[in-house]
Amino acid sequence: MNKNMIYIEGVAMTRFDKQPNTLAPELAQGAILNAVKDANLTLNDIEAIYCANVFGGMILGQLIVRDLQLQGIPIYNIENACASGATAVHLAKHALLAEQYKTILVVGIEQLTQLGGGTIPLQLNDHKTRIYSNSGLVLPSIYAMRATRYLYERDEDPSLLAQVAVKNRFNGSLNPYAQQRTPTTIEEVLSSRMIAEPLTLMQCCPSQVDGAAALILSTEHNNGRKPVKLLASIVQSGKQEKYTDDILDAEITARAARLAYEQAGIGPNDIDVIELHDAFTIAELIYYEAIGIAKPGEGPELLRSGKTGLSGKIPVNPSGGLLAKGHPLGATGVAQMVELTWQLEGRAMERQVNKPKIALAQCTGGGIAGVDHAASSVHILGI
Amino acid sequence: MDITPHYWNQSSPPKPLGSMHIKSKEIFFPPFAKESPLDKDYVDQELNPNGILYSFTVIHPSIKSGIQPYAIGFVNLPDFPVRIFGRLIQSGNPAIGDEYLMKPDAEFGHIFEKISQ
Repeated sequence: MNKNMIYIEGVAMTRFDKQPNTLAPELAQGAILNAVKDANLTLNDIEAIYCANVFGGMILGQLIVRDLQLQGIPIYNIENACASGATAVHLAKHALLAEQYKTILVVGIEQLTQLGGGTIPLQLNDHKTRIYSNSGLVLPSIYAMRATRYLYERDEDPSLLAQVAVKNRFNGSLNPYAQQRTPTTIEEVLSSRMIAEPLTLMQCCPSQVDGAAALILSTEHNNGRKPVKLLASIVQSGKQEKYTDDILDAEITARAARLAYEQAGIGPNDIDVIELHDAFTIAELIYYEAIGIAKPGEGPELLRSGKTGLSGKIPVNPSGGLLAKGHPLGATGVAQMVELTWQLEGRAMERQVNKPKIALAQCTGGGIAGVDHAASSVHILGI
Repeated sequence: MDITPHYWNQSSPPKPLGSMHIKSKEIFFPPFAKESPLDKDYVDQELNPNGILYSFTVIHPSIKSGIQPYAIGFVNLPDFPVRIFGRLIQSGNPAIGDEYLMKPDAEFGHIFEKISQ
């Protein structure tokens, strides 16, 4: 056993859906217990818990596991906006590599129905965000302005964006864990209610969703299946934006991906399947180029070629992505890795892609003015 | 209490203010608060309020909100180069490359008004 190797020993998640009458413990405990079972372990084998969440309030992790009869093991609560779950995995990796623990449970949970609907609020803790928020800055508007510029520079029309939604909604229709399970058409996407031009409702991830996902990371492999290894784990933060910045550049994600490829010793051509942060349709197109699966300017052609479809050369968001599966913030990064583990192990049922060996998860966390994104995380898994 | 830094000078008409980094000469908006420990590295810089629209969107609030659609965008002010976000005021639809004038506004702090060609 390679002591520097980290294995994903067990994974589980709840269906992402509106569950307004379910409280956090009931929601997350199902994912936790199923992940432990999937790892062929017991709760007593868990040495620490990393709990990712954004809006659930303080000490949520302790609340969730209080009734599980654990014996006071360390519980860490982690918030990094939409990248909270991925950041929790990243921090757990550090602790495992430092030999603080051998086996850690990472759980991500969010209950967005508790917020009552609408766009995710910005945190008004600095002058720039306050001023911009007062003028109407919200997360959808940032992506919408990217989309406007993208269509302008690439001489494309909004049907290109709609193709992303059609692809991911089809994948979601095959995923029993997805919130949106109805396939759609370009015409339906474009005729759905306008939210922030050029983005219509079906080009935005649902804002009313609850869910939890959990995985077991360990330096020991004992689950009886072929080992899924964590080959790279990167978290980066956004740099202060400049006048000359290109809003289509996704610099933070390109940087995170480059570091992840270096850490794993591979390149974008080695990736077989991807889960990426398609909170809005434009995001998927921009991230094609940021993570290097398309050359600059060639994102539209990659989408149109069908290569990122479920049966394509490099399927992107086989789970349905955030657009169809849903985006309960704290759970998303963990759920991406749950899906990719199932894909690598050949357990993804109807949405299984063709024998992947290497998988990439990309997740961003936004919400402040003046940076591309606050956080971006890239993980690479291999079997 | 409004703790937002004032970013309009007293000239007539008022001009927007940013902060210029003393060493790099880079411009930042809004100006740093005087309480900021970073303020000593910056000086106030009056900005030319004329700019070019870099990108935009039109927000369509839900019908039940009663709020009419409104345009917002990023405008590049090229003289002392800085990109500023704000409400866009024009008749018809905005277009990338349109020229706008940044003006004070009681509700939003500032707006960008399209310059007629």
